[in-house]
Amino acid sequence: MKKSLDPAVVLGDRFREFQVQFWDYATLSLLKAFAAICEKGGFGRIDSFTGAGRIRSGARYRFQWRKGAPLEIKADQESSEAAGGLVLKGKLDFFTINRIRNFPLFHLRGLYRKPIAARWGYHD
Amino acid sequence: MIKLEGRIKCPFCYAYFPRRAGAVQQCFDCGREFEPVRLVRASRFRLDGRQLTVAEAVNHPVRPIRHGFAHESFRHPELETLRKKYRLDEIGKNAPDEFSRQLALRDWVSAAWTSGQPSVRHPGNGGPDHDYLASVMLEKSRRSGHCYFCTYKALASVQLASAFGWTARLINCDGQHSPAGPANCGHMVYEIWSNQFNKWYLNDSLFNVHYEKEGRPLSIYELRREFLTNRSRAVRQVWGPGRHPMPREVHGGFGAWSFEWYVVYLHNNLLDFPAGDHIHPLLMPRDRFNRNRNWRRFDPKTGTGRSNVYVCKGMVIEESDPYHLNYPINQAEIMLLRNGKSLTVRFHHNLPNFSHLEVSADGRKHRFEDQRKAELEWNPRRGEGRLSVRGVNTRGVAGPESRVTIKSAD
Repeated sequence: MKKSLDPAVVLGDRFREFQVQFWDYATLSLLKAFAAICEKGGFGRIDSFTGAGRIRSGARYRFQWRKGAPLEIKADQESSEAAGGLVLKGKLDFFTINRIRNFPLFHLRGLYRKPIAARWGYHD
Repeated sequence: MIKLEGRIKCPFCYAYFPRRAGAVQQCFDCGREFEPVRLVRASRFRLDGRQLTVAEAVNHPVRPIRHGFAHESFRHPELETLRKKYRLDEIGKNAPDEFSRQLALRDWVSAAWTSGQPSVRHPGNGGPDHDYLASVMLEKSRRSGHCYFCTYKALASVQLASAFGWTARLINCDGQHSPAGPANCGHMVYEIWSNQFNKWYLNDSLFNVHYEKEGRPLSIYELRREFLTNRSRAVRQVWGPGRHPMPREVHGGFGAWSFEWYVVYLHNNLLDFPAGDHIHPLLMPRDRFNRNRNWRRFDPKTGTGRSNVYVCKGMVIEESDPYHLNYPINQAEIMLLRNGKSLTVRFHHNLPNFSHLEVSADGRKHRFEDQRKAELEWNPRRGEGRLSVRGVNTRGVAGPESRVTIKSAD
């Protein structure tokens, strides 16, 4: 069996911080749903997350969420951070990371999405 | 297929024959005579000088099946290995009901591996090998970070459902191509039979979601109808065992999530027969919504839709009757027969992996392991008599309860 390149497997099963990529044009409503689920503990212990995305017009935004506080979304043209990335902080194990990566917001990660998905929507 | 309207089922040999005038019926097949009691609310009959009324009747009739289904044996040794190795009994252990436990299993499968990440190994072009087995997928994902897409998630979910004594079935679904061209590549999901709701409902173990309308989980047949009749306006996608609501814009008739086309794999014995082995047929709805239309699928080589998906393989049974598309299982039916001073009770079930029938007659428990020999003499308690039955499978999972309450005037 070849050695995995997946950090969740290589580095063990406990993370205090973990970066997940998402489709930079993902809808804000999905981001809000993700924050709402984090707030209710649906993904286990997640204390906060921050990241950046962009809307169809190309305008960039940054967002930040902390447990107990509402999701903050701000327009940000100056940011050097690549859109479509999110850093989670909390207590993340292998299974939680899989659960998060399979969440629709992250399923269409930039590198994974295929032209058909980008054009028409989700599939498999 | 015989038409069931106007026919009556023999409680002894389960043959159907035309109802004849008068109370006493005689089976055309086995020749036995019997006098059935109509199990509908407010139905009245006399027994040993007493006037009796059916006060409540929740009966789940067992009708002849039109399309067979090859079920996994819940005693398959591979399932026992999975149960022990992955401590499956721990999943949803504290869940309050069967529905919550089934959602906990879906959540567990969703969390078992990531669906397709380019930084890790993927089933790829080499074919699935033995990766269609849940045990292999779980092993490889934990040891080397293998990931598997929706087909594999659904395969694993169906196999693991069997380990719990639940019946699940594999489904491939898709949306109709849009005016601009073919929309999708299809999506693999599964339906699981809910004894709690007495119906099939759809699960997506990749995204860890299912769909609800007014708090009830929906089957793919219902989802398709909802999309085709009102663009799924009343349907809500919910995530995880906590049933968190998802934004409507990501699922309201969106791509494969419109469920316009689907096929049901007519087997779940996936441990020995991989899905798509061309031994077992597939069941597809064919009705006024898709008459004279083809299910087309995106072809990345040409950039257009191709073919008549599934149907072109000659393995598809096209069905318009919703009853047979959603054939209910785990049913146990009560049949009451007048017999002089008491009632004779007989039963009929359609449980896969049947173990026994659990019967309660006015609080007295009975257990029958052979339904043809299952027979009870019952004299309903004065005032109010209660009778109930449910089937139990070899994993100890009970089907929905059928029950009847009979009140006497005295």
